[in-house]
Amino acid sequence: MNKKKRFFGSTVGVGYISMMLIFTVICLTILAVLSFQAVYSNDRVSSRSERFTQEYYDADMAAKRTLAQLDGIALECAESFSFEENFISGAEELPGITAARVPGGVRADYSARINDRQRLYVSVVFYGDTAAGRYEVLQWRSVTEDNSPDSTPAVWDGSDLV
Amino acid sequence: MILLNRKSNILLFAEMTIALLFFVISFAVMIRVFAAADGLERRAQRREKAVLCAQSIAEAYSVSGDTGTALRLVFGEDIPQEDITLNSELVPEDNGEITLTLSEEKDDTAAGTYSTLSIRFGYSGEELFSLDCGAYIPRGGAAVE
Repeated sequence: MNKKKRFFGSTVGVGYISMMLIFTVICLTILAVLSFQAVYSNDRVSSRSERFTQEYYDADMAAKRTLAQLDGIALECAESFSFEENFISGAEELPGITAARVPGGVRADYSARINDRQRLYVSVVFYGDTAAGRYEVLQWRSVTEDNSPDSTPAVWDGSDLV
Repeated sequence: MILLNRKSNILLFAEMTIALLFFVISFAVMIRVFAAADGLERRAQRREKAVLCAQSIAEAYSVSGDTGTALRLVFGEDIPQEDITLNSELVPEDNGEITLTLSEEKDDTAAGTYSTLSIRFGYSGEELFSLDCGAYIPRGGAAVE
C-alpha cells in the first residue's frame, strides 16, 4: 500500500477530481435547465391566459356597444304604433343581428368574436311595455365553435359480418 | 521514483487548476440561468396578480359604469382615480412599486350611457398588463337583468 502511495505521489489519483467536477456540473446544469423550463412554461401559460382575458373583454365591449345600439332603437320604437315591427326592421339593419317576436316583445340574438374558436353569444329580449325595464338579457355566454369534421366511431352497425 | 512522484503532483495541480477554472465558469453561467428563472417567475407572479385585479375592476365597472365605484368595490376604500400606486400585493399604497392608470370615455345617448375603461398596470416604467372593458347603463331605471 505504502509502495503504491509513494508511486502515485498522493491518495487522490489524477482524473478523480475532474470526474467529480463533471458530475457536479452536470447535476447543477440539469437543475438550472429544469427550473428555467418550468418557469418558462408557466410564463407561457400565463401569457395565453392574459391574451384570452383581453380577447374576452374586447368581445364583451363590442357586445355591450351593440346592446347600447339596440337599446337606442328600442327607445325610438317604444313610442311608435307597432314596436315589434319597427324594432325588428331597425335591429336587422345592424350587422349580425337576428330578431324574432316573442310574447311581450322581440328577442335579438347576436354574437361577438372572442378568438378563432370562441364567440360571445348574446340573447336579449326587448319589451314594448317599458314598465319593468326596456330589456332583459337572457344569455351572455361564451360558446366554442367546433370546426372539426364529424367523426363516426368505428363500431359494429349490426350488419352481417361476412 | 522521485521523478515520477513530482510529475504526478504537477499533473494533479494542473488538473485542479483547470477544474477550478471550468467550475467557476460553469457556475457563473448556472447562476445566471437561476437568476433569469427567478426574474421570470417574479414577473409572471406580478402579471398574474395584475390580470386578476384588472378583471375585478372590469367586472365592477361593467356593473356600475363608474370608475370610482369600481375602485371602491375592488379595493374596499375610496381612492383617488389619478396616480394610483400599489404595493406588490396590489394594495393601494403611497409610492408603491406598481402603477395603475385608468382612462374612461363616456358616450351618452338618449337611451343610456355606454362607457369604456382602459386599465393599465405598470412596473418600473414598463407596462405589466392592460385591459379595455366596457359598460352600458340604460337611462331611466335599470334594465331587467
